[in-house]
Amino acid sequence: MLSEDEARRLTAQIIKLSKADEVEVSVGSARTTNLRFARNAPTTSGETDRVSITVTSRFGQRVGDATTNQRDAASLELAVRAAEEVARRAPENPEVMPMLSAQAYVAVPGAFDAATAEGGAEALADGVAVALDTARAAGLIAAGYVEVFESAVSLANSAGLFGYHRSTGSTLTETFRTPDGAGSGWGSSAAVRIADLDFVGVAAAASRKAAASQQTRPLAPGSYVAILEPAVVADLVGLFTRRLDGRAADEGRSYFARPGGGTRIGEALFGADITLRSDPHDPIVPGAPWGSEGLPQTAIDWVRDGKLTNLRYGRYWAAKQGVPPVPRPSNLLMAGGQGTTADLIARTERGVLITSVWYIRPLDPQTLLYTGLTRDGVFWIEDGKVTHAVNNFRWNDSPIAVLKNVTAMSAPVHTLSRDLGASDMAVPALQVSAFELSSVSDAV
Amino acid sequence: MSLADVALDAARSAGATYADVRIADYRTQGLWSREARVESISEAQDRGFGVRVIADGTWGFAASGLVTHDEVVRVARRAVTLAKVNARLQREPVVLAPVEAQRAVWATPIRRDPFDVALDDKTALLLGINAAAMAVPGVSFCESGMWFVREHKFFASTDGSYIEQTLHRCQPWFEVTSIDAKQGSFQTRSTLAHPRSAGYEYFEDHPWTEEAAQAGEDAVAKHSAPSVEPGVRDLILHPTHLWLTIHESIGHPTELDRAVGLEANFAGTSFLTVDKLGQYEFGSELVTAHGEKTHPGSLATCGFDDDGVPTTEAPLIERGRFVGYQTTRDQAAWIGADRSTGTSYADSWGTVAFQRMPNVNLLPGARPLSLADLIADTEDAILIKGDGSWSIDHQRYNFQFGGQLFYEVKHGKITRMINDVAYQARTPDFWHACDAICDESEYYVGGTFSDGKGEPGQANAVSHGCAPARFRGVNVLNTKRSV
Repeated sequence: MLSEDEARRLTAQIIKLSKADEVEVSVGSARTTNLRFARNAPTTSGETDRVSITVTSRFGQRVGDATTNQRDAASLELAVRAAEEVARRAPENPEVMPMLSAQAYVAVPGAFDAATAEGGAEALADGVAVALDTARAAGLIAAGYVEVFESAVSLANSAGLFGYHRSTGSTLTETFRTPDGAGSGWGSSAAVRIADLDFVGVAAAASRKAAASQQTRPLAPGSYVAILEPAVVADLVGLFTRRLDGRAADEGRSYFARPGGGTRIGEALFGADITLRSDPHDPIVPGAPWGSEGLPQTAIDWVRDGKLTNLRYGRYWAAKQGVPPVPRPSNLLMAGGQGTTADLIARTERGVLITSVWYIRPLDPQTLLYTGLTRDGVFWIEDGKVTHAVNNFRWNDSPIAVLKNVTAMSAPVHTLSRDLGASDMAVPALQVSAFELSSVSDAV
Repeated sequence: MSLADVALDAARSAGATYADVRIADYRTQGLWSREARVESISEAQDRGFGVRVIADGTWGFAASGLVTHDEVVRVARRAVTLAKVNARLQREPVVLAPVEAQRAVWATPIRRDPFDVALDDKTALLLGINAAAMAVPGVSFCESGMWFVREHKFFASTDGSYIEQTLHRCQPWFEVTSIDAKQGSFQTRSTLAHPRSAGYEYFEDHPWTEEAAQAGEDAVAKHSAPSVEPGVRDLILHPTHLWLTIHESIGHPTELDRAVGLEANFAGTSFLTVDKLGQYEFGSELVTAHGEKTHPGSLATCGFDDDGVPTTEAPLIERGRFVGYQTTRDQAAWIGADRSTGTSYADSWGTVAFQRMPNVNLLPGARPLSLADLIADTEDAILIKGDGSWSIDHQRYNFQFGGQLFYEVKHGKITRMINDVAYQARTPDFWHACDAICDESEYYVGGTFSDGKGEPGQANAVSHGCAPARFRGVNVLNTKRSV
């Protein structure tokens, strides 16, 4: 992983090689170590060191870029010349913007943990041993994946911009199944520090759900009151925020387009208790200091008290529309209520508890209608208690409808979304008045 | 001594009982445009090596982008260390099916290297596609792109194999959007063409501007197409659509790693469990599907897999019965097989090879039957072209697919375009409902660059050939909602 000094020297060396009107260099370096297991034993493991250097050259309105993973002088020269050759041959693009001058990027020291960066395969094996011991003791079969990474990114250009950011992270997912395949449970954990990865809690959750889900009773498709665990909410809210694109809304091809023209900014889309925001300084889910086009990340509301407040805008389109540019965020924080998923269950008279969802795909971009499946733990709630497991379902629903239907929320927690695979979210569990379970899935 | 031999020697010296090394470089180029301008052109080169070992009966893998003697030695030793660290958790040692030592060079047959084609020609083609679509009244936007990959890799193993391969893949793409500002609605239509293992000749041979103009007409027509009446309907699935249904409902369930639980935490398991092999009636007698990595032009085609096993063609479904799995060297013994079917692949020098889907094809019908004949023989059905939404559960039972274009077939004729269609079925029920497959003259090969599996996630490029087929009594949904 490159230090800040190394990143400064490398980017300066590349900028010096440039013959273009402007040049920008983006450098990433990372070491990732992982251990995968299944059938109560390790299957694959790996450790990979990667560097990626992207050079973007600009001649007037012509731009091209070239990427290399080699740091020797000859490779860097080749990459610079390749970017320039592409730029010279590229047609003029009227939307190309001058490169950003120096920006005041915030420092996010909480994104990096030295002990995590220095940890290694032994720490992962120790954690997986917890999973395997838990599964064997319960007569279950464990599969899972644990990964730890350290990463440094740097951005520099010939207009004086420079940024450096380093981070660490770790993720853990485990699926325990009964030997006869009749029950299955899943758990997950994500943390900046590997010391915070909850090996014991995840194994306990996967074990508990696998055991509890093995004697299902049939439940017919339909619209049900539902408790959505945070992993489910992270997937649904993550889909919602990925569509917050200002240009698509201005062009009339988005849910956030106002019929007849303009966007829905300012419109009350949800109840007053729904607030979604991003903040690189969040202590639990820290974000990166800059986003797309090198734009500084700042605290921003996307939805405040139910009203749509912001959409993402690239620099060209923002200037054209006379609005500030807004980069794609590096984290997502959803406000919640008090307590845990268990407290929401206790407040539910009758409903379905959905613990994770899978294979989500769009059905209608106009309404953000998606389809997906429940997986590894669906339960029936009666009089505030989980009474039994039910079959899995395909669901067809929209995160818009889900957020409109929220009736109660737990406190938000740092969550790994299972389908999107994103670990940059803190979201609550939700109680919703209706969730559309459209057909039965025989899968366990 | 070559760097490959340095890696193998270092691994052996550190205690590996088996080792292989892939030294690879990947060149990619991507171009993206919308309307009258080219948005971006990107070139990339990515070079490095990965060493995979078995030590103390356990796999270990390490990789680096720094291809030097000292780094090769360090990484090979690190792979052995990882294997030994994790061996304390192991229950049964990894066993590899035998393979003969191979010394070979293989390359995708191409007529024109896309990296030799001038950028001017490529940007002109993209802007031509956009212009053809934009010329259609009612079209609001058109985006287009092309992507080229050259995968050059050298594989060596302690079994004595030395294999050099150069694989080419390319992907065309465009999407046309029509806005109805009054209704506040929009409709899209993407290309019906698919990526291929080919050179730039694919881009020269396909009628792109004609297809773009047709796509524009289709996108506009969707605004006024009636919304489908949901219910149980017969379907005629065009190969530009059916390839994806094959991928999800035949390709993935016949992966042995899924069936035995290796993907239980991520991609999922399979309803085609090992006890069903050779016994289970998967579909109707018309349904025969083969896995292969040998057909020219198909994306997974190569000379040798990333275990160093020569590629083959093998049946998965034979006249409706489930008869075969996709396997690798470390899996073959699990089903009593003495050989791998050669389906190991890693998507980068930095990722570990494991079982990935080969091209899985539905064989065309034996008796003469054109699509026109099939439509003429159908009383009431929906014809679906192009791939849209797709989703399937983690054991590959319950699936739901959308599409690009939907047509009502009544009394042997296509009567009108309809819209908002998705169908949902249970895999074995669906394939048992197949009562007609067109002949070889209607055979078409679709595919994708982004078949996902594994942790960390890896992408696999794979193709699926098929002819139009009819399915009786499938549950059809209407996807229109208001929120």
